[in-house]
Parts: sequence; structure tokens; C-alpha cells
Amino acid sequence: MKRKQLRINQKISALFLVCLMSLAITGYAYSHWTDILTIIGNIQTGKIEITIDNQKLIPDIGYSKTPDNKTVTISAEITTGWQIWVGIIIKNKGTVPVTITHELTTSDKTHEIYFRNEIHFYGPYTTVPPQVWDDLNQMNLPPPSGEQTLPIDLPAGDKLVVWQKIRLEEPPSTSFTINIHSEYLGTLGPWQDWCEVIYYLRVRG
Amino acid sequence: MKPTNPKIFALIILTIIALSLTGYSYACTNGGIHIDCCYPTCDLKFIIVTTSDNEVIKDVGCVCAKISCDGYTINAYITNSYPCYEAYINYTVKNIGTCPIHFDSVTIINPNPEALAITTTNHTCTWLSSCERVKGTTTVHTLQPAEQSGQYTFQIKIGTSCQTRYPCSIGFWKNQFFEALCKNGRPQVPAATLEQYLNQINSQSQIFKFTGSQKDKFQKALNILSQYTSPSMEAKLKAQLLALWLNYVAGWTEGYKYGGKTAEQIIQGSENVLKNGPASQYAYWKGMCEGFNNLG
Repeated sequence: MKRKQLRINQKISALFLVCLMSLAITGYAYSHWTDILTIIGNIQTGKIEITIDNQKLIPDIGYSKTPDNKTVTISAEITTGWQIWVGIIIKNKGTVPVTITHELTTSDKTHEIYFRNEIHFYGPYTTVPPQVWDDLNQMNLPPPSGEQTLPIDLPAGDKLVVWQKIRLEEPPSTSFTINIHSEYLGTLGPWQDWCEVIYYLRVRG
Repeated sequence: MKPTNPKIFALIILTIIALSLTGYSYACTNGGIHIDCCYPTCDLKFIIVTTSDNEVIKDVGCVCAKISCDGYTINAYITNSYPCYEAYINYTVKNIGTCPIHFDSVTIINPNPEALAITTTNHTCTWLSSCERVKGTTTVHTLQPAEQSGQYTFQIKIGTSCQTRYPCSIGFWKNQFFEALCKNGRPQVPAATLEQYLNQINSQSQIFKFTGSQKDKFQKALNILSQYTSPSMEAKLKAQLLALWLNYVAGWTEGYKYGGKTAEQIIQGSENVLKNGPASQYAYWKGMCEGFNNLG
């Protein structure tokens, strides 16, 4: 019985000690009150990505396209008077708007003068109208009306239609091979992405 | 029935005595026992947060922010950010306690300074009175080297502390000098500290000059403080002004305002009117000094 009483006393003593300590800590904490307000920021940056969403060749001589939809390649053996209309739909698959510009380069500066190049831009569109894409064919050749001048701002998710004509104007004296790179750049400040159409042309003299 | 163990009662009584002593000694070091139905509290919270950005035509980036349930944290989310995008987080902080709160520090933790430039309102070294609000803005500027599809974080920590001291009344100061002179009782402010306060007032005040021995200084201070019952308004103003000066040099006025004025402003106004007049304003400034001294 005495042992039981002793155990109860010990428990009560411990309880009081805990209370005493808690109160002391509370008092100390109050007298040294400090607090911190916090602003926590989480930032996610966007991304830019332009791809060739669709392509159309008039006449349709065949092409190859990389799986990432970045490059369309056209190979042909051509003679004087040869011409092709290549249409592409550039899509902004990123999350931020981009500014589209164009660069044309060739592998052969000497022979590039034999070619005539013209390029027409349409858009931006959320839905491409048929008059600038579906309706155009061998019977109804580009360029359609309503063309825009570069640079063009392409909002995220929107599309830009490009029609480019390459024509071999003058008869070359000798045979040669030329690579023409038609590169489209999408930029936003220092961020940049690209897609291109490459022509591998073997010219018979 | 078995009698309850007397040891338990002894323990309870000892605890009560210990707690009483703890409370009393705390009170003594803080300007004496002060009975009030309200107890001082220190608490500060964010109460409003709004966001905006630098986009005028396009709406590309997105910023949103919300205050946590406890009011101590703002969580801000910026999505689809890009170089040159600037997001603004505008917040309001309110002192919801009863004591003035001091802004000790503002710390910006930005692990990616090459990608983000963070600026924020610097509240450091300012006070926020009870129920007062202060606004601030944090600007998050995404820089050119920021990467696409990047994840960045930052933190801003606003460190604050609470003024648990409060201004004391003219009676308190009168007692201090009286006890220091008569050497009876235990003054809450030691004689050496009182003399130091008077020396500080001597060098800063245009009205009060305390010279001679410590006893001379204390006697003069006591005489001035005792004039608060005098029929002369000038003497009353001087008495309250000296008490305010003492509170001021003791650092017990920091963060407090009375009638929208700080102790410094009231001291300045009172000294100007005592020096240059008009005497018709003595009552107003006496009221201001008295009001401030009785804030505690």
C-alpha cells in the first residue's frame, strides 16, 4: 500500500515539475518574442519549340521527314525549268510566343545564282484556313493572297503557313550538286528553336 | 477514508510560490507590477496579397500567391516565365498584437542569382505599432540566362521582434529618483543608470540641464517631476516632458506612437514650444507627453 502511495506521489511530482518547466519556457519565450514572416516563391520557366506540323509539295515528288518533325528533306535530279512549291505548316508547340525569322543558305555560292527563290508567309492561325492550304494544288497554285511580312509573332499553339518556290531559271553549263537550307528560327530573347527544309538537288548540265 | 499526503500539498504550495516569484521578478525587471485587464501580445501576419506582372499586351507568364492559414507565409507561384518577365507580389502585413513590432531583418535567399533577380521592400529598422499595417512589394525578374523548362525557387525571410517594454508614468520616475535619493526601498532603475539617463538628456535637450553631483542631479530631476501637480502649465509640461525624455533614453518609447506622433516628435514639439512659445500650446503638448507616458 505504501509503495502504491509512493508511486502516485512520484507521478504527481513529475506532473508539477513538467508544468513548472513549461511555464518557465513560456515566460522565456514571450520575453524573447521573435518571429519570421516568409515569402516562398516557386518559378517555372516556359519552353519554346517549333515543328513542321504538315507539309505539301506541288508537284508531289516525295520527301522525308525526321521523327522530331524538325526537318523535311527533298531530293531531286533536275534540269532547267524545274520548279517546286513546298508548303509547310510551322507550329509553335512551346508554351511561350516566338518570333519567326527565315534564313536561306546554300552549299554552293557559285551555282546558287541559277535558282530563283520566293517565299510567302501566312498567319498566325489557330485553325489554318483552306484557302492557304487545303485548296492549293497543281490546278490552284500558290501563292494565295493575304501574305504577311517577317518577322511574325507566333503565339503558343498557333500555326504559320509558309509557301516557298524554288525554280532553276538558267541552264547550267555543267552538272553540279547543290544543297539549299531553308531554315526557320523561332526566338524569344535568348531562347531559340528551329526547323528547316533541305533541298538536295542534282542539276544536269 | 485515508488522509491525503501532506507532501503533495507542500509541493503545490512550493510550486505556487515559485511561479509567483518568477512572475514578480519578471515584472520587476520590466518596470514594475502593472495590473491591466488586457495582457500584451505580440503577433504579426500577412493579411493581403495581390499579384501583377509586366505584361501589357500578351498574357504568357502567370503569377499567383496565397497566404497560408496561419498568416505567416506567402506561397507565390510563377508559371511559364521567360527572360524579361517580371512578376510583382504585393503584400500587406498587420500588427495584430498589442505591442509594437520591430522589423529586424529582410533576407533574400536566391539560389539562382544568374536566372532570377529578386528585390523586395526593405522594412529593416522600422516599427509597426499595434493594429498598424505596412505594405511591401517583392519583384521577381527572370533574367536572360534562365533556362527553358527550368524550376527555380526563392525565399524571403522578414525577421521581427517585439517591444515588450512600455513607457512608464511620471509617478514611476518620481519614485525612482525618490528612492535613489532617500536610499530606502529598492529602485527598479539603479542610481547609476538614472544618472546615465540624465547625462544623456543633458546632452540632447534644449530645456533640461543637470549638473553637479549625482545627488544634485537627482534632486533637480525630482523637483521637476514633482511639479506635475503645480498650477503652472509650463511646470506641468516640463514634468511630463522630463518623464518622456527618461522613457525615451531608456529605450521604452521605441515603436510606440501617441496621437500619430512618436516620442521623438513629441519631445521636439514640446521643447520648441517651451523655448519659442506660444504658451497657449503648453496644454496641448503637456497632454501629448502625458498621453505617451501613460501608454503603458
